[in-house]
Amino acid sequence: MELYPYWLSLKLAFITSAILLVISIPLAYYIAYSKHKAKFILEAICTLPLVLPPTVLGYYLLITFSPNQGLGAWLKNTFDWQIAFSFSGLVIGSVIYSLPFMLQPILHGFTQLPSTYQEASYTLGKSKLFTLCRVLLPCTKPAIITGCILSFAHTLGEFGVVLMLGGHLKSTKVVSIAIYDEVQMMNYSQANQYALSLLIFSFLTLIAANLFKSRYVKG
Amino acid sequence: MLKADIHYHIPNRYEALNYHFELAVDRASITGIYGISGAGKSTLLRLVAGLEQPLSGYINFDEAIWFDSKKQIHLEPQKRQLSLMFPGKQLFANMSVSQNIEYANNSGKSSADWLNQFDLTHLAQRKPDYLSQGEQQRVAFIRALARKPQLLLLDEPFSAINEELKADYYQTLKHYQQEWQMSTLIISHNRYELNTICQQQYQLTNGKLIVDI
Repeated sequence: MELYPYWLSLKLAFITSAILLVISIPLAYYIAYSKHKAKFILEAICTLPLVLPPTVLGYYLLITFSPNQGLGAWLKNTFDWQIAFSFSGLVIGSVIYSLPFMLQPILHGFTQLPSTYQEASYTLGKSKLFTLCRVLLPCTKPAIITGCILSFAHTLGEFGVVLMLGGHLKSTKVVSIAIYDEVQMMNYSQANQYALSLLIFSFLTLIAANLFKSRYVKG
Repeated sequence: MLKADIHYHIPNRYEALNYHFELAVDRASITGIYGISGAGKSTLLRLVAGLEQPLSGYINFDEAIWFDSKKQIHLEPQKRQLSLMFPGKQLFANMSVSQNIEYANNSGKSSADWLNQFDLTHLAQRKPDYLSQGEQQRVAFIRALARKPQLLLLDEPFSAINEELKADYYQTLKHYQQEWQMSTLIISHNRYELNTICQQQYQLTNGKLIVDI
């Protein structure tokens, strides 16, 4: 049994979660506190991946980044960078697909905080950035951790987007695809090994992360 | 000194609320505001603090223009030399009492000294969730004071404090009023309290401030 799919799945989950953490905090801050009238449109866009079938998302990403036309062709010709059927394509797909899983918990964390926190901080002379870093983020630590756990776990199990965007290459064969392949070839014991190990790993990760959250991070 | 003449309107879904606030608070003086619940006292404080923007008018503090609708100036709360004490939960849950006081401490006195002055040293390391309401209120008062503001805005600051302890807080307020030449605008339902500490008082009725002699 190949071990490479495990490495790929973990790598994809880590990189995706890291990128999502960096983008989601400013996004959640904006949606939570902006008074802009059209922000509900932004919120809808960010929630879209939750309701969209993964293959639909994968399909549109494939069309966008296909090296034979448009953006994909331009990227290939200018930077020799092919996104479709590559690991970086998977990262882009995962980031879009798992965005709601990082964004929603953090957004909820922000909106749960009493508005007096910001108002007290501002009237005490502290800037918005200072307030975000010294008060808001520390108070939403549990929500941020939840977001990281959910997006990590969600990315580990990703299949539809990867199937469309990954192609059938060694460099994009994550565990979920490997299971599919082994079933296609009727190697059920191999498929079972992949599936069971992914199940156990996901379960243990969730237990460990929740334990950490409840014992070391005060809400 | 604080001088303000502002109009404000709350587009409430139940009724239209219009306010016209005209007030003056001298340097180193304490001004009280009283009125029935819902009259708009907290709204007034929020407008002076810059958390809400008036419809029209001006708010000046000494030579500084905090708000002027004609000149299109609205200074953000951070830039106004004030601090505001809210009713209710306001201490930062991620910090201890001591850290909360240090947050904007500009007084030259350490948080330990402040806590010692009010016999609250035993609370220094506690997080706000483990304080009683009265204790939270006292710490919030100290935090607002420790900023050494030119204008101190207090919204029902002593409502949860024992009668016996209140005198200490009145004393402290008067002390820093003199030492720092600090102006104070205080909202309270307690007429005795206002009579004890204020040099002037306003009553807020029907969206307007009436000077109380």
